[in-house]
Amino acid sequence: MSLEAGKIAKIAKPGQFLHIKIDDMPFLRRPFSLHRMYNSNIDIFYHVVGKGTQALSQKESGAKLDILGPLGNGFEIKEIKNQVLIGGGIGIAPLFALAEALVNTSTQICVIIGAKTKERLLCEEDFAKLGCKVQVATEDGTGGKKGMATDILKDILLSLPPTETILYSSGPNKMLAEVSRVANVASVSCQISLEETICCGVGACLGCVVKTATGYKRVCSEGPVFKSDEILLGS
Amino acid sequence: MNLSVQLAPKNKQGLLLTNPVMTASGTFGYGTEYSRLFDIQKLGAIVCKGTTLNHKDGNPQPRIVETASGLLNSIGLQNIGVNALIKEKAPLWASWQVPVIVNIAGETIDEYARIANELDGVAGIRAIEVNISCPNIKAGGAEFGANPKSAAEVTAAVKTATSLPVLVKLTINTSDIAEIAMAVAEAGADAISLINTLRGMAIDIIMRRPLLGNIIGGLSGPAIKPVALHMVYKVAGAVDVPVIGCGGITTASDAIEFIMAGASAVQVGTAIFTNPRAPLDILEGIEQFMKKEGIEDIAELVGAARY
Repeated sequence: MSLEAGKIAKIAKPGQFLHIKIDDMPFLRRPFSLHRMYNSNIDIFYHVVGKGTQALSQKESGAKLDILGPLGNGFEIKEIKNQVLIGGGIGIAPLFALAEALVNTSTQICVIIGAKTKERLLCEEDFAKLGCKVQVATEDGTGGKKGMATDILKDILLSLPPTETILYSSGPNKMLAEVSRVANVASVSCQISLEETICCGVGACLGCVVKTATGYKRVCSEGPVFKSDEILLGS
Repeated sequence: MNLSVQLAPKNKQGLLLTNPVMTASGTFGYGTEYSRLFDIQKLGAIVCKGTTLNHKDGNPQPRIVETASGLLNSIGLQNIGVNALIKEKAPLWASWQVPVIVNIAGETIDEYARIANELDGVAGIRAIEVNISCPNIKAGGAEFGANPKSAAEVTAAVKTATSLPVLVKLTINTSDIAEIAMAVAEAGADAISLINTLRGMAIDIIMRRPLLGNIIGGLSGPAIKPVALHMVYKVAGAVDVPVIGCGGITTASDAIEFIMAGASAVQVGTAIFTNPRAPLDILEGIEQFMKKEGIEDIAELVGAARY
């Protein structure tokens, strides 16, 4: 879905999110990562999974939306030689905006996309068009390599010098936990974008916290992008 | 047009608000979170996040569940603790025009008194709201608000520990709220705010387990408004200290209903999550209503619908 939001597009950075009031019902705003940014437009990318996304998908072209944003901290872009982006499922959405920002730097961008089945593989061609080296994995083997995206990641990291490599990831928590573990073993700097139910979106309500080595942190305002070694996923 | 309200007429320092629209504790952080979204200085008052003696981590996730016209939360009073609040937040508040009220919660009566004592005389802090109604903590909180004797004891202890105006925030998770309100007023409360969230829960039927990490949480939002309004009506008829209405207020007409039920001021909470500007929209709506109805002073509306 493409949104015309000039003021936001001007200052938004990959990894940040928009908090959108879709209708009077459901009650809370819904967070969406920035998928693509061009001119005064921002694209968001989502699957219809509940009442909020269902209502959003019914909006007609030209409809007005109440958008709060850009919110949160985005990816910290570093001009390191090897940029590895790994996304699972719809988690690939914010990585595309990141790749768009990275293509202007003199770095090599390698993208790993994972999904359950071939039908669920997203953005493969879009990344390729940008000039990224793309590899895919599906759990059932219907597309790309059979297995997990993190299996490909392990292979790739073997051939890259850790100090000249940076990793960015977005996807289900289970995948992020494995990415963090692999990054840690390989001593590669890694940033992960977390997904949570976001309530206020500005750090006031403390509803969207995640456990870190130094206590709870707010996904909406201290994240959603964190350094992987500070987050305690699945604990 | 006069929108100002005095919430602590019996207190030496008083608590004069330029208008009756406040933010509810726990929904507005420390005020700073929203200052880039709108002019928070226009608000009647800001009530900050519930503050304990030492910092508190809060409850496990998930902490938020959306329900029909409402919100269940089990944050569990995650906060930085009173000393950090005095050091890191109060200096900024001292430069603000809008009065900041610190909501406090303790596990023992002594803890409440100690927190109140720490806050006494700190520049930037204009009043204390005593939280004897949080449903999300194991010890203290709503326990004290559940019976008149302990509610009065906490109130008296806090009053002794500070010269600041003291608001006491009540729970309705109790048998007779009017009785509690009278006991609290008798013990010296300058004003009474109500209601806090109602205990509730939700279950994930696929996983067959409660959705909140803490199992139970507090329900807020439009779903609880009629209940809150009734409780305000009841309490306003039982005490002669100012009453501050809170619970599901989303629009100006909601706020006016509470004022007509007997509230001198209102707190807006959960509505802010959907519309951060809700408190200001409500204030503007109250002004428009008064203009249309030819009302010069907001005091004319307080209790206007009482029979």
